[in-house]
Amino acid sequence: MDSPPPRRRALFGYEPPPSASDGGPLSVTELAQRARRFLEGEFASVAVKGEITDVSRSQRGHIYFTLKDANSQIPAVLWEGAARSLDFQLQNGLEVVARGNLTLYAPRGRFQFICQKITPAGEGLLEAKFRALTAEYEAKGWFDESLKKPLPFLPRVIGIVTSPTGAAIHDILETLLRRHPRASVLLAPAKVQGVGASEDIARAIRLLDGRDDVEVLIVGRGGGSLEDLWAFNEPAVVEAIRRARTPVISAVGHEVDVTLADRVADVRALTPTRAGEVVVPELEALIDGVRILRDRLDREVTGLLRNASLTLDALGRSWALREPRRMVQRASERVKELRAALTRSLEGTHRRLEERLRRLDRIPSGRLLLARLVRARQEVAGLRREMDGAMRRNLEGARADLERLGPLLESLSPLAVLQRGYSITRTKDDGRILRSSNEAAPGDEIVTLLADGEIVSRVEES
Amino acid sequence: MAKKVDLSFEEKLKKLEDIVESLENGELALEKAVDRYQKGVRLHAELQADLDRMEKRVRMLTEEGREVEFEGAADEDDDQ
Repeated sequence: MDSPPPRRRALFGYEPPPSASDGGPLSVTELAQRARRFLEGEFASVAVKGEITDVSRSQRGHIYFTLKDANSQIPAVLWEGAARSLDFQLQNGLEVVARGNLTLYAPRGRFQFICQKITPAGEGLLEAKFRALTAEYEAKGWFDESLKKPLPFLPRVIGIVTSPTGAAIHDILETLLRRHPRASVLLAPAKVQGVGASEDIARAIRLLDGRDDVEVLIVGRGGGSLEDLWAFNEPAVVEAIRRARTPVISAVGHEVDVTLADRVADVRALTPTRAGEVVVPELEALIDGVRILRDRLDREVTGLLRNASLTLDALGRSWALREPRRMVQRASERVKELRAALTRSLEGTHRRLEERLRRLDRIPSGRLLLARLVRARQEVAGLRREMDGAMRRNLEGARADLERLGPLLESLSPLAVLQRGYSITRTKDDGRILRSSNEAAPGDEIVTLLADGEIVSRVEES
Repeated sequence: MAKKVDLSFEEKLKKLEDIVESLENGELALEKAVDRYQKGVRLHAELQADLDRMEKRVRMLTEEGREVEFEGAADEDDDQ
């Protein structure tokens, strides 16, 4: 009996070729198997160049996408193992060279390119756009060093534009507050990737830039693919940074990613952490610095005053000061004498009048006497007023005298004396004041103190 | 000359440094030195006050333009 050969199941992908000589129709599976073997044999290792589109990632980590050019497309897959070692982001529009083999996925009758290795080829759409924008802003001079604004030394308020939930804000704040635990920060939250992100970032920049208290801005996000960072290349963001009056620190991603925002910013921080470092000085160093300046200030002035008081002591012993002091002393003695004499004379008049009144009192009384008495009393009162006035005038005169003498004393103060051309000479060694030519020998160094400074000289002869 | 209130912390610090250096050069007449010293003491007090006045504030702008405390930063290593 000539029965058809038993159908053998494909084991481990192996199945002996069906014999066409059988002449019978092939099953669908048989045809698919033959096509698959053909494809796998013919295209066992091939490199293909095309644009990536329709990227999707399975739960297991395989990446499915379509390779296409102007007229054709081929479905492709990158198995999980190869996908893991990929060192760039597969994204729509990216031009790549893929190496691998063709196969046929029998359940769907679809042929598929299995990628073993994939590398970017030339530039994709985003790269081209990036290059065009870079050229445009370079031509406008927007990246020029001359436009860079200096950062404030100690900003009152630090404005930050980033996502409130991203890694960047955490990194920035951690570093910033460690360096300056009393800093003031204002976060303007913005969407940092996806549709509308660039407008959102630009709006947040303008918002913070419009505030008087915000003295520096940090604009950024954590690292990512070119596509993730794309908002920071968009004209809306680049222009908002360029037009800001407030200095801007960019802090986008990691060191390798340079965005146009980085290039237009006044300062580029390589990472958000680095932005937290450059934006504030260390508070502790600041406190120390201020204290040290105060110490130096005090030390200098203490030294100066000690020198000055030595000079004053020396001057105090000289005639220039003894003389005016004596003048004042004499003046005040004279004032005292005058006052005593005046008092004596007025008191004498008063006493004589009182005496006359008492005598009148002893004479037998009458209306006439009484009238006289009243008149006499008035006379006494008038005299007393006069006396008081004279006394006051005299004291005022004395005070004016003293006031005149005050400035005189001052004009004879040591500094004023020096101003008039006198000088004091001391030995350089021990600061002794020279009063006699015998006190210095040829070759000695001497210091001459003048009103505005010192001259150091050497004695030729004495 | 700008009013004192308009000087930034940095400008005040710079002024104080200049004063200390001019004193350390020792070329000033006594009166001028004392005058500088007093200015220096005043600047020091202002700098000190500026530092003392500082106060940690981490705020976030809401969509309505209000300012609210921002807590997002204080996670695992919340050591304040």
